[in-house]
Amino acid sequence: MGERLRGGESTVAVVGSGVAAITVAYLLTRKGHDVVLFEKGPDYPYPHARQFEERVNYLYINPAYQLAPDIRRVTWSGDYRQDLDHERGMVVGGSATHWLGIALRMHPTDFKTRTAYGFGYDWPITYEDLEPYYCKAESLLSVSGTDADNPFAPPRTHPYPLPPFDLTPSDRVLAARLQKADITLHTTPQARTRLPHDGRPACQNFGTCGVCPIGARYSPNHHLARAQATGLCRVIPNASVRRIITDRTGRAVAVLYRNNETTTDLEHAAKVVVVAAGAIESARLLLLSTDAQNPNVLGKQTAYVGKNLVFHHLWHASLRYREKVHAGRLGAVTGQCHQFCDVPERGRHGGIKVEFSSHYAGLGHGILEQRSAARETSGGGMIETFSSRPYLRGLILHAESAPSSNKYVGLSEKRDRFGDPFAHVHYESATFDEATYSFAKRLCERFAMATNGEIDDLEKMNQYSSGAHHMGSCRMGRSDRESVVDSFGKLHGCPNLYLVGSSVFAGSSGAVNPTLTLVALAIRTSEHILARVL
Amino acid sequence: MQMQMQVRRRRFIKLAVLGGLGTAILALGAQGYYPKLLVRFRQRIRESGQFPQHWTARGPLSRADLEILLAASKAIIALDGIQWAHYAAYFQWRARELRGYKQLYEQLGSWLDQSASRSYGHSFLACDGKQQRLVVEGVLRYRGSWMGRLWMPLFERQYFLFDHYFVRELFTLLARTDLWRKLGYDSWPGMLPLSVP
Repeated sequence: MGERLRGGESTVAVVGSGVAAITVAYLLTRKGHDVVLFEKGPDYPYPHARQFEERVNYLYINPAYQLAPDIRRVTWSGDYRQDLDHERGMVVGGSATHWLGIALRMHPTDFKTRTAYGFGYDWPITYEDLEPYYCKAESLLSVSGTDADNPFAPPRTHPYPLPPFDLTPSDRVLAARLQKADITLHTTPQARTRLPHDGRPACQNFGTCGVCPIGARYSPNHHLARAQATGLCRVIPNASVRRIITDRTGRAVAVLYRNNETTTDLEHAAKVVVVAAGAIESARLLLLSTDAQNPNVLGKQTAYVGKNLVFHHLWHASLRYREKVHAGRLGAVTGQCHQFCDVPERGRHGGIKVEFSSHYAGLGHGILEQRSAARETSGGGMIETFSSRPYLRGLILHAESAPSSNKYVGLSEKRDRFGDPFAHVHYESATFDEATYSFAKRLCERFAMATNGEIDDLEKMNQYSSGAHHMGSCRMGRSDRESVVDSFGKLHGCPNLYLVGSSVFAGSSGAVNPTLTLVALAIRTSEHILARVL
Repeated sequence: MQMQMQVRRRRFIKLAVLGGLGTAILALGAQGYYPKLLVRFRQRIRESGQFPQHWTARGPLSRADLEILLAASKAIIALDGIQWAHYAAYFQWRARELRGYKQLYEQLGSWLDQSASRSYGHSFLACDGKQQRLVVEGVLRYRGSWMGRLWMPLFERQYFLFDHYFVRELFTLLARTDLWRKLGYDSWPGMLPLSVP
């Protein structure tokens, strides 16, 4: 490390500015504590009206929101074939500036898969422990939903803050057919406002949820703006945190960061440090933060940092119908089925959430669009190319996976602009995942048959994508002999360093999307910091 | 006899030329020339696909330029019932905000006018629909062919730029907007729906 200068101080320093980081910043500033967030990527205006205008109206991907490859990269090996690098949203607000807003609770058994089904790890907390925080998270994100149509929903003590979005008319037709085959298709709880709520307007069905122009689909920048309005919260964009500095007793005393375009390191002192940089970068930062006290890795327990990384495995399919089903226009998710998340044979394979959603029409339409735009000589040809779209329905098989010794984060041989090794991910699917794929295939066939459709296309086993759900690299556990952090996200052996986000999951979030769980955990961590540390 | 001699000589010359070419090809290959050639070729294609450095102007299009672009769009897409206002907004935004587009659109307008004038003796806007379609086919002539894809960037850069930044974007915009309505949806993603399907 080169020259370093003093770069300010705050009560709390947060590494990252995604949904978990902003949840912590919002709750701590509300109680009068000053917080500084360090974000590697650029600023990202909110509401995202400008981004909507650029991307949707003018088909323009603005390079101002892209982080340079020599800072953002990750290398990877194994059988993961998707672009892992660009699954991470490195802007102020993080990946949840462009998520679809699916806000689901994990099932009670997801917290104890080892005991119940003999795979993965049991969490050090139960569903019942986390339930009050799920309620708080749903309130924070203004979740619209109901459990009335979902017999597989976990128990709850408070209703959703907003009523649900209905199934679409074509969803209802398919739901009726599925019902005859004893399959329940139900509405999707989502962080999208059915009615105006908490200063956010009601959704107007633009159908571009990935970039909502009015803030109806939750973006963490909503609460960031509120935290900043207190005068106690500051974000430093384009700033890469390179190390966490500890003293002789093992306490974190500062973060060492560098503004991306400069050559000097700055030391920012803090009473509490929170690492919220995603499952890959959080593990990387701990691995990089070696010093005399911690020659291998920061914290007391070194063996587990980066291990136990787990992705969701998503396989996409297209089903073809004889009648028009008009899918794809709604960017928001609609119907889904939780019936197969927690099946009796779970353990031989993973559970699967089936999204029979209307938010995309079929596989490969993006590629078809590119090819067609490069080839056609009239609009008539284009209509012919896409004539099957109204008859297609996308089906997403959203599967859980399990940790294994062939899934981990380490340090790469390649180095970033500052000379630090990038993160390296090795991810190889296991026999368990192959069995889950067989189950997914059977479900796809069952859904097609029950709804009088035909399978037009189904991704192969090795075409799975993670859905940008990276989890478990710094997993929580009961003792420092088996985990990196405790159930509050406190790093073992370091009394004032906390991790929040999906990195602390004890395994995966079952077959459901992880965001609501990581927000609930971040609220729990914030309350713990307020009660015990500050 | 003399005839036979001439045929043999021609055959010999042909074989010698082919042999010489073959030897040259093998010799260049042995020196690792082809990867370099491939790199240069790729670089040339990449450079051809970028706006010239001196195209720096940004700003609104004149009414005349916008009208000619919309007329060209109608002639290319050749479908009824298209809403053209967002195409006009698209062209204006690109010309105003992004380097290169203003010059490209202006050059395309001039090319269409000159081409119409050569063929029909009047401006592109004064042409009827059939004539306009025949004029724009000059821009579309290399579409969909492998030879065209190789030929354009190397020898017809202007057409390559017209194709890449006007025709291709036009079809992409069509695919993201009016195509949805043509397929039976009442709105496209990003447009406020008239009703939810």
